[in-house]
Amino acid sequence: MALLTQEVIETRRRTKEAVQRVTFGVNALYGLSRESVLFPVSARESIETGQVCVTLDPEAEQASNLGVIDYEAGSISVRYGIQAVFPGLYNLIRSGKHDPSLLNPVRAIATDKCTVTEDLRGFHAMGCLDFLPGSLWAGAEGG
Amino acid sequence: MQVAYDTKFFIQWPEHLGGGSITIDLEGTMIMSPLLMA
Repeated sequence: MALLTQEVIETRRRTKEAVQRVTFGVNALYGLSRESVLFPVSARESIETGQVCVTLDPEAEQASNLGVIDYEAGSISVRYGIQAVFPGLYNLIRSGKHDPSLLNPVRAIATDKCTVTEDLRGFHAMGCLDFLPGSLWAGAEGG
Repeated sequence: MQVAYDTKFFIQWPEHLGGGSITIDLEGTMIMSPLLMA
């Protein structure tokens, strides 16, 4: 083992190690779909969702909204809780055939595997959504 | 740190909702804060 000398310490101080991985917390989020999507409300009936809007789930544990950026691999893995709003549910409720509680925010856990964009200002992700109990779509999950 | 958010989600429906799967594309913004660097 090399002796710990003043010179060794100075060398260590001069060496700048590049940060390769950063663990981060997700503090805020909004996401919008460009188009309406067809979501099932039973085995035989589906609705147009309208433009879907997601935000961070205020009921989720903040500590569960976490991710890791790997700059060397150009990748991000991130997991976070969301609440989603589906305007199309409003028309469904107005039909009088369904419980108004369907309008409650829909909660889900999102898990993304992402590629960092070349300018490091964003990412493109392939994600999975696991819907939590309490909504029409509870039990739906990512693959 | 504010980054562009662009995600394609994959969802599989349970049998009582007819089964099958869909994808949904979302775009927006995510705000993150570093916790630990290595």
